[in-house]
Amino acid sequence: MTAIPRDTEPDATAVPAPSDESVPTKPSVSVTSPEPPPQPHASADPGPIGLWVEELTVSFDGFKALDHVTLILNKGELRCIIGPNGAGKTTLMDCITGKTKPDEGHVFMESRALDLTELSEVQVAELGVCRKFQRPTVFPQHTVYENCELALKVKGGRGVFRTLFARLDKADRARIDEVLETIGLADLRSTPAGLLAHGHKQWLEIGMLLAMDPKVLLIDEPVAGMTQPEMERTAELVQKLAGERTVVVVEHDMEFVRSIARKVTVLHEGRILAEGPMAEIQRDPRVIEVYLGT
Amino acid sequence: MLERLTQFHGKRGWLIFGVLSLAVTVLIPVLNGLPKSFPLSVPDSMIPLMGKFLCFGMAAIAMDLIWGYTGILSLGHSLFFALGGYAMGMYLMRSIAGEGVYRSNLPDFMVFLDWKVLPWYWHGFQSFWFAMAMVVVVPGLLAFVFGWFAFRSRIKGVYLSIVTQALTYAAMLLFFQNATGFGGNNGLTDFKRLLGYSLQAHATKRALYIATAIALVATYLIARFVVTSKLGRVLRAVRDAELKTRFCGYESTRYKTFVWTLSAVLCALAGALYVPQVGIINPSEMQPSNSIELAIWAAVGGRGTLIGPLIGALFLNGAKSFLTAAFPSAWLYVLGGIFVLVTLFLPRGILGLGAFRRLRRAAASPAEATLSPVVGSAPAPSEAAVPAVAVTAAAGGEVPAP
Repeated sequence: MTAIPRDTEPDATAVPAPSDESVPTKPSVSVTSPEPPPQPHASADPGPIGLWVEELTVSFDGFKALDHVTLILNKGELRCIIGPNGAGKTTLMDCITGKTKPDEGHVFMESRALDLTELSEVQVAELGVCRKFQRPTVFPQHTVYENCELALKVKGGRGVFRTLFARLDKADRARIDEVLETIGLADLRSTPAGLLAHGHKQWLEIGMLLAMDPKVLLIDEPVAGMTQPEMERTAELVQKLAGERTVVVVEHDMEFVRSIARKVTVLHEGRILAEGPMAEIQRDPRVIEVYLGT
Repeated sequence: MLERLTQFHGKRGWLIFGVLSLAVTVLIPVLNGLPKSFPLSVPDSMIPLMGKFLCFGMAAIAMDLIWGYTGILSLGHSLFFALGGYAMGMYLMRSIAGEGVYRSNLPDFMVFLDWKVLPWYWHGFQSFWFAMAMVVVVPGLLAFVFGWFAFRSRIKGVYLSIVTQALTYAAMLLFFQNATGFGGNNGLTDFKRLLGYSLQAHATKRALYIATAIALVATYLIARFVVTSKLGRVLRAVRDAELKTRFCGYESTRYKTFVWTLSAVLCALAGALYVPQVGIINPSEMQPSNSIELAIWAAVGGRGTLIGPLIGALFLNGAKSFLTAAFPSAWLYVLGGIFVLVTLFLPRGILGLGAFRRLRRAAASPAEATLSPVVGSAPAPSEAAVPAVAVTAAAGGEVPAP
């Protein structure tokens, strides 16, 4: 099971049959626990792993928000996760960033030595996993520039006393300018972020993630409430982000997903319903059923 | 370095700061030294009173660091103020051992309670420098330990206010007990000398006033350094969006504990300077109304501005001194009325008034508007939110979220 989803080749058989009492990912349970499983590198597919979510299970008062979800992303991959409301998309994000502790399962980055589920949000962020929230959250009373400054990855770290005496050096300033240029907000650098238009706030937040120089980016509904041109610009931005970084985008807007997606994972009721290229996913009868109703 | 200083204030700001600092540290003592017949002469009786106000001003700046900039409403700052005061009081008692009413080596109240030996925690306080160290260490340590556990447990908002209030109340009850060893109900009083100088002498009073004025200026500069540093921006980020700050990789617990402890220490220093000028420290300094008044000073002056709470403290205490003498029964109504008015009409306090006028002027002449034109074209998130943020922007963006 572990080898299948990371195939970049379209592979419809990767989708386990639902309505079966056996959990889709069950076969790998015996393999994953305590001993390390066969390295995915062993399979034909090249490239190192960027993010590895393994058998993640979360339940809230008996309701399974996530049910043995396994996802493997190559380094630099851009993956879209879609699914109807309540499919567990946000919970999945919460688990990866350390906000919610899963009942079972693990999340790894490049190596299996470090399980992100055992770390706090801050530690996860320090490792280079950054998240963009569904609602744009910027610091409203800080200027656009200050928002980027706060997010900027700095050499000394983010300790209290370092921060007290922190100064921006030339390289830092250049980096912030570069980020502002990329997100197209250079002219608004001294505007308080709370005064920005909705779309600009979304870009600022993406810019803040850029400034953090992350390894893994989790982006939650980046185009909600955006106009068409804003959406196109966002698609450009998100595609620019992938390549060096592993990017996970959760989005409802099919138009947007189609414009950026190379590979799509469909979540439904806490399980992975389908995974593959967008064109194939759109033809999948089960996906159509979930999205259009019976 | 120079660039860092310009972040404190602009040129005009530094000028105002310099003039006010000189006025308070030099001019007032000089005016006090003039002969009484001179029209601008400051009467001797005013000096300890003004010294007391400046102590309150220090406490208000400390309060602003934690409430205005970090969004944590502490109702426990009177505890830190009182602890600093008690440490100073203990030195003042111990330094005159043998000169009390009973001619005993012990403080008078211990003789009165028929105690034979000095409690262990009173040792060392005959030394001024030891006592000064304790002024910082005891409240600092208490604040650090309390803050660390409270913030680590993610206690926030009104719950934290209640917990700090409860802590202060518990401490007050403890200090009321004679057995606690701090003079119970009466506290510590009958002080005679500080560093060998008689507290009754006017020269000493004036020196204490000058020391307080310098401490106030220093407190302001320290606070200004903190809030204009990157750390200050992190504090405001914690105030406005703590979760986001954590996702940005800042351990908000540590930041809050740091500023909480710093604020407590500054407050304790104010308490230590307060005690020799008023001549007494007793547990009523920790009563709930004192903590609440401290919060009112900050709110009336304008949170998140440093200078606002200082103005609030001086203004309200001046009014209190005047009114409690002229119309003793009216003061609480006036205080309550001011608080209600400020809450309803001046959510940014007295300083918000200036920012609002600036905004009106900007609105009257659009060419001078400082806001970027793009803002105007932006879809307004909500009618109510925009003016509030706009006021903030005009005020320099350092006002807490509504």
